[in-house]
Amino acid sequence: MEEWNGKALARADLATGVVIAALGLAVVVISAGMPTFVERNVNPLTAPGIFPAVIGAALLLCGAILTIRSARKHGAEGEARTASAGAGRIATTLVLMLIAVALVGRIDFRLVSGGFTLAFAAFFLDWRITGQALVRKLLAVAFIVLITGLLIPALFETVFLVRLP
Amino acid sequence: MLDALVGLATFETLVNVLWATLGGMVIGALPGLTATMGLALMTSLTYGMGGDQAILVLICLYVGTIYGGSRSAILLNIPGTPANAATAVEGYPMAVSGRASRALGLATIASLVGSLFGALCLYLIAPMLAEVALRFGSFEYFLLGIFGILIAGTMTSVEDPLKGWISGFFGLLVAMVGLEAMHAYERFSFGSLELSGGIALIPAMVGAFGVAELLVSMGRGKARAATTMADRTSVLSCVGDLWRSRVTAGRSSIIGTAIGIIPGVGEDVAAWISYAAGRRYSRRSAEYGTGSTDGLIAAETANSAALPGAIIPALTLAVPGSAPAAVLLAAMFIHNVRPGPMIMIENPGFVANVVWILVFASVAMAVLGLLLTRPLVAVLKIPKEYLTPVIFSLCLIGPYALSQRLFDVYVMMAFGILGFLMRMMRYPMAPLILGIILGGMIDQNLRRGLVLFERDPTAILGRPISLALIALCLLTILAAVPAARRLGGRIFGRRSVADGASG
Amino acid sequence: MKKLLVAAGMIVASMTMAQAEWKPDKPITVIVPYPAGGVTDLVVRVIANDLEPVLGQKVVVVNQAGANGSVGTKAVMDSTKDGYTWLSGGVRDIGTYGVMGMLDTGIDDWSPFLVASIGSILSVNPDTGIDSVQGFVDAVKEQGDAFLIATAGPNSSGGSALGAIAQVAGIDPKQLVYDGGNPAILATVSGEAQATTQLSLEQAEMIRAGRLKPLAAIGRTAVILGDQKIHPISDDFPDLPPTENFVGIYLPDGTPDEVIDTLSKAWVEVVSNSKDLANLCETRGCGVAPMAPEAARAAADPLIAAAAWGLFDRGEAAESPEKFGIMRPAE
Repeated sequence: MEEWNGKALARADLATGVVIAALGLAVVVISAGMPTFVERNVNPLTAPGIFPAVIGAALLLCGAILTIRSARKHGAEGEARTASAGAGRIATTLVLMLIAVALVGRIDFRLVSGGFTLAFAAFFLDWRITGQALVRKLLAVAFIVLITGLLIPALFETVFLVRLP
Repeated sequence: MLDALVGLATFETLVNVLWATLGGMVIGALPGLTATMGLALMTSLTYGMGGDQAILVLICLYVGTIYGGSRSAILLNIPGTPANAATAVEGYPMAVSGRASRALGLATIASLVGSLFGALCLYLIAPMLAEVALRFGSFEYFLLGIFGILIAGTMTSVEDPLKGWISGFFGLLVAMVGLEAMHAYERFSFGSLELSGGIALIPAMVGAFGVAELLVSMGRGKARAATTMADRTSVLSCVGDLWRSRVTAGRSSIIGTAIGIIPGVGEDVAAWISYAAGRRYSRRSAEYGTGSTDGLIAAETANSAALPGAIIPALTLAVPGSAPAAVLLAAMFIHNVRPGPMIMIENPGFVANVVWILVFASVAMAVLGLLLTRPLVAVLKIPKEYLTPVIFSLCLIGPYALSQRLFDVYVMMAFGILGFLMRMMRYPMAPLILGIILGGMIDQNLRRGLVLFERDPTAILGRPISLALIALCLLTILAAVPAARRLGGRIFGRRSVADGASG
Repeated sequence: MKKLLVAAGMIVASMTMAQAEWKPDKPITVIVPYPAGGVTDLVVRVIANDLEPVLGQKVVVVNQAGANGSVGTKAVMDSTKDGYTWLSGGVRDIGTYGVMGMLDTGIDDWSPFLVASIGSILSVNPDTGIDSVQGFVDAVKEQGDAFLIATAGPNSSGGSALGAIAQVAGIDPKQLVYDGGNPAILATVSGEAQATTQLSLEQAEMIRAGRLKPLAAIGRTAVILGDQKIHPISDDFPDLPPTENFVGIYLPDGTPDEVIDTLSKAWVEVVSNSKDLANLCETRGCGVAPMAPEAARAAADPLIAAAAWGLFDRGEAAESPEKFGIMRPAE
């Protein structure tokens, strides 16, 4: 899946422009509500809300410009690309990753990394093969599982003395 | 100076230089393991050694990590350390277009030049340069940070600086989350203790570069698998590249060392500012962003030159110029070396020792780097269906290893998804990371600067460094605004070139 | 008779339990809740190294900085209490997390093993021409907002030392907060701020080089840095509340007894015999202070009480110290 172009990008920009401007506004409002600690005998110029308010204002301004600009561009030429072949692969990868992240800390890390590798291979490799090619592919997968499931955890555990989750 | 060399030239030194530099390269290349962490771990492993050899191991490791980070930046588009983020911008497109060996070799030579230049500076002007650091007051730091964000936004997103700035401002906002240091007030934490600790840089970086890249590459389908033709390249052709970019290399060496000297900003900022300068002033700036050798040289020379630069204030003021240098400083104290303004009087031989250690480490890095280029290029030949799980495992464990918090793993994944979306909408990732790096520094220096400004406005605005930085910031913004560009064109009597990109 | 036998059996059992030597079978992690290169980090790394031969295992130092130390502290509170995860930091900070409303913990929840005492020094930029504590007090009174004192924050060692001076001298000094001890000191050297009250450990090199002029050690004992002797500020203000702090290692409640017993027995000897620690303290102005839990509490409780009530009286506390069983120190 390539980066978005033309109309698709303009449409995405329009939406994100509004989101960014809204985020900026929210940040300004929250910052304005932060205490100044004058009651603690603190110079109000060092209040914690000053710089976040500046960032919020900058985001608000940039978001507004982006919105206006992409609204104007809306009529521009260029085909709108909504779906693409890669979307399914990305979604599968993302779901597998999210499952792995959710499992870290709940089961042994070696199982997470090794399991992710197996699941990944099951989904993305072409298994419609037989004979020697199949054996070779299985060996290759086993080798990668060895790396992710044993070698990497062992490296971190023994050399860097990290306690695995 | 030569006495120091004779004293150091032993077999033990040679062995230590080799393993420490190689170890540094491995740590640097693994995403999530930074120079700071590597040095901290190695400090505890080298307690038992003699002081000189322990410092030698640590400096070699430091040099190795900053260089090693360029390996994964070029081959995998994951900067091994924050210092190599600019390297990824040029190096990875080179690798994708079949010039992986060239990029790796060139980064090696550029790093060598940068670190040798930095070592020379350390020897020649350490005592003088240390004083410059004291001229940087709060307001100057604030302006330097803002300029860094603006220029990174413009430089990484030339066709649309607005998106670069949004990315940068968002990074600054991320840096605001958590307990602030002045009054211990929790900003944007919404009552969560995890958030009150802030969002750490490393997980965010590994997510935004690593996971986002995995998602993008998986989406490309089989047609554009990462099996690229490994090119052949010779050291001579890399030296040739470097010679063609000699102006950039020289400029980047100077910028790198200078930024390294400034306390608190390290190799990462040096690489960005040098890269930005290259994009603006290089004769070959048109190639930037598409796998430019010139841009790669700008980034790698500067981050390597910043390393000896960061050691300069550590040695002469006992104020580290970067985070890894802080650990190095601590290690020096542990081994009974007392860096500080008195070191040139108390222990002049030590400064000479450090210079030679840096030279040894640089040479070892270059030799090992060139020898190991081929095995590293082989990584690109592995189909991504095999490579992705390996990288993802590193992305999972790397951020966790740093402070052993599960929250960091979630941050990593969240920034992976955010980074993926930002890429699809053509936002550059680098300003986001720079914003997270610089946010805290900019915030505190602004607030201190305001107090000082209230006390005496002329003392702030009358300072040449402040004025120059203010002018640079304004120029960066105006250069990107179409109306201002047209006005500028009229003033200088030229027709403004079409600015359709942002029209 | 039977009862007696059971009782005797229990006594014997508890005695052997208490004497059981703890032999760790995997590396121990010490969490430093501050960035690498700081005072706690420096001291803990030295002592971790000296503990390794005694325990027969690696002692790994992990920096888990954030939120003024509360993130790392919370991590240890949430860890498995098997004796393999230790906390480190300043004893006063651990005693005041609860009062500050940052974490629901107090010193009662920990077994403290102290390593070193650290104190602050009142120093000025030499260009100010100030050469005495009285001169400093006058400058604060006369110059007001124009006389800035650099610290690492109101809860930092420098901030609380300044608070103590303000209290006894009846002045209202203007604090300028930096993101750490080293930046605060550098700002004083460069003249951006006029004075600093940060730790002697951090100021030592600048004082030796004559870039900072030390006026007094903020405490009751003189600090010796090389051949310079810095007199205690209690000479000027005898009513000074306790201001020093101790760096140490802390084991959470629920840790097996044999771990605490083993460590208690070895502690004083290991810390007293540490050459690296002695060297660090000698050159940078800290005091070797080996104290196992009982002695540690006796030394630390008055400091915590003074700090907690000081925060409360200045309106900076979120909770009353009484809620954590900290009694107001006798005036």
